[in-house]
Amino acid sequence: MEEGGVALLKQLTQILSDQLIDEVGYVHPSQLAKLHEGSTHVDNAVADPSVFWCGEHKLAISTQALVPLYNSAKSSFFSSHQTLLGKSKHSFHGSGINERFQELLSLTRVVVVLNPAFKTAWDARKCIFGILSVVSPLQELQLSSLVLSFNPKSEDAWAHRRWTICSSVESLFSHQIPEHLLQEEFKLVAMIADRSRMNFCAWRHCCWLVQWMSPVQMLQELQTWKSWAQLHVAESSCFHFRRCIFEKLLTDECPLVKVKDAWLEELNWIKKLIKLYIGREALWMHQRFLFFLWVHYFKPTDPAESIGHPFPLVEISFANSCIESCGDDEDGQRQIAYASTFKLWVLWKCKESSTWFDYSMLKTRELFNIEQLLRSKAAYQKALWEGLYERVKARSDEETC
Amino acid sequence: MGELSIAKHVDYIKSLDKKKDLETVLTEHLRMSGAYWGLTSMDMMGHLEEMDKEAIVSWLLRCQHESGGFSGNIDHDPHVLYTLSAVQILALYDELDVINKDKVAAYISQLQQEDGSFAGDEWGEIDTRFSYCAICCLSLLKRLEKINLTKAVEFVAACKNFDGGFGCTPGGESHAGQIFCCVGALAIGGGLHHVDKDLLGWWLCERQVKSGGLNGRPEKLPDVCYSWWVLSSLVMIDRAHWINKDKLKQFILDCQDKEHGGISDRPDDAVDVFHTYFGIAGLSLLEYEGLKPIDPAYALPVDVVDRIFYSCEKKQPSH
Ligand SMILES: [Zn+2]
Repeated sequence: MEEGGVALLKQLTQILSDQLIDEVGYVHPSQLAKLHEGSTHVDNAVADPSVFWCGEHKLAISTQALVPLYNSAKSSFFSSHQTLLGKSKHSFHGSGINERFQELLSLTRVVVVLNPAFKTAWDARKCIFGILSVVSPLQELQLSSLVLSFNPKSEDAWAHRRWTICSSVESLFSHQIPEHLLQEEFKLVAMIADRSRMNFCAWRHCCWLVQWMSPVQMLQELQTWKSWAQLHVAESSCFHFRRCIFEKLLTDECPLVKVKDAWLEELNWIKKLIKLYIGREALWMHQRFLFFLWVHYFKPTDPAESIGHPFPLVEISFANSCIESCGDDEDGQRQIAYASTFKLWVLWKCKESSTWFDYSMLKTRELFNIEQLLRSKAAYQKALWEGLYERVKARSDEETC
Repeated sequence: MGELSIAKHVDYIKSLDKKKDLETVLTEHLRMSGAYWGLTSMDMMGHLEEMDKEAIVSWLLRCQHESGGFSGNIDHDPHVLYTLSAVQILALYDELDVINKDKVAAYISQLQQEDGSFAGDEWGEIDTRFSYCAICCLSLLKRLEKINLTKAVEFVAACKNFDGGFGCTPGGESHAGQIFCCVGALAIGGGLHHVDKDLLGWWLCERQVKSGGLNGRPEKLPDVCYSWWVLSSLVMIDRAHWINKDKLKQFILDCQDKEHGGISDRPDDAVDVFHTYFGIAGLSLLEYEGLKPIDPAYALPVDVVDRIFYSCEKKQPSH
């Protein structure tokens, strides 16, 4: 078994020396056989066909060979790592030292492809990056993309990406991310988010990129991602990315009227989606955020400006119209619960920020409505609704005293 | 209501070290955390003495590096995640004196950044998870004065979102696991006043879905590990009475493998030590009979935490 592992490791190292490989998959031996049957040409003739299939820069590895392969890769990696980067490392002047670092680099490549969570191998690359000048940022980004192609939630692959970008931003790009690199990163996230739903790490990457963006780019990305979001209304993280942009715009030197325009557009858009896709939590969460923005940034300072149509009342009627128009199926029940919770949010935020508009009448009526609805539609959360209801009432009572 | 199959879970955890399957091989790099999850579960169930303490502690010491930090296994690089796990294991065993505490504290304090945040290791990734690890670990070592705690607390507070939750960095999405780390760091670091308890309690309780289980973010499926992250946070901010405890208890019990032991993320999925620990810890917070109570901030049995913070004061009554 061990001997077999060594031979397989050699083959895999050789296959992966092709830097153009952009996809790896782990497949059952029977699937592997089918792949071989179905293809006339294979990229790598020396590789054991019962373990590997390689064509058009795509690599398939049999799950059955993983344990011996991994064990063998791990021990080769550790012995090379120990000599070159470990405590008792030799000086970097020895002859052939470049070749030995290259060898360690290929081993790290094999190790992270077999186990993307093997952080010590990713970090060995970062070490070598600092010692030699042979490693290119492009190569690091490619390896990260390759790993993300089969393990889109690999935290270490995402972190390696951020590290690579940060180190090159400092040395190569004079503290700015060039537009084309930014777009490449967004393209990657879109591709991964399509295949891997609810991918926290992928969206974290988008939020991380926001720090490098100008207000113009941010407003542009809000537009660009709209169609994606519309097709994935349950992707809370995608809406969080939008929130991240709004918050950044509000702290940047972007004129407030521009942000307000974007906010208004967002508000109309999200309301349309709420009416179209019934009972989606992510949409209602976003709606809460937009109301929060109004309270903190867009509330008119002069009460006279919104006489007749105070914004909180507009929002309450929107929620009411959602409640009235939906059926008694499960989606409808969720819609009613979210809309009622949203009304509670509106009252809560108005009270919290001592919003001037007089809502005492509304408050009494709405609190009663909310209580009725929440208890009947989301009964299993009774303790929460009772708790929150008590808090809002307590806050209102303080006010009347 | 079904019962917790303690005897089966004890057997399951004891069997883990003998396994050689792919799953085990691929998770060797985080064995330190695996050991912490397994041992803490054993302690909560009252069976810690059945584990080979000597072998575990001597292996653990081999994972310490020159820098003072610990790695997830021998030969791997050190990281603050595994440094906390190692210290927690030593706390469980009342063996914190076998390490040079100042050295561990020095490793952690050099990870603190200008803005108060913490890197996980020398490569500089920033995350509030690492803030929690650093603060929790230094508190257990009684070395909190080695860092700028005010700045550390301020950084965590800066990661608060409009919904009352917390993210991994300022502007990061609210996530129940991240919230546990932030609330835990604030609780230990004396910064709980930064939390809007009603608002956060609201968001956390909305994580409960119809089946009784908790998810970690809107629209996600319930998962046993969030029983711990959500519930411990709710306990720390005094809002645990807002959750439907009976339904949650039932959900966790339904995730047991009653035949072979262990707990999975959702009913009928494959078990692992991670979800076994979080399931048992969740039940412990729900005051399940037969389990030791667990401390929501330190993630260690209450008697272990009490021993660290109160017993030496008894020994030295001189101030
Ligand atoms: Zn889980």
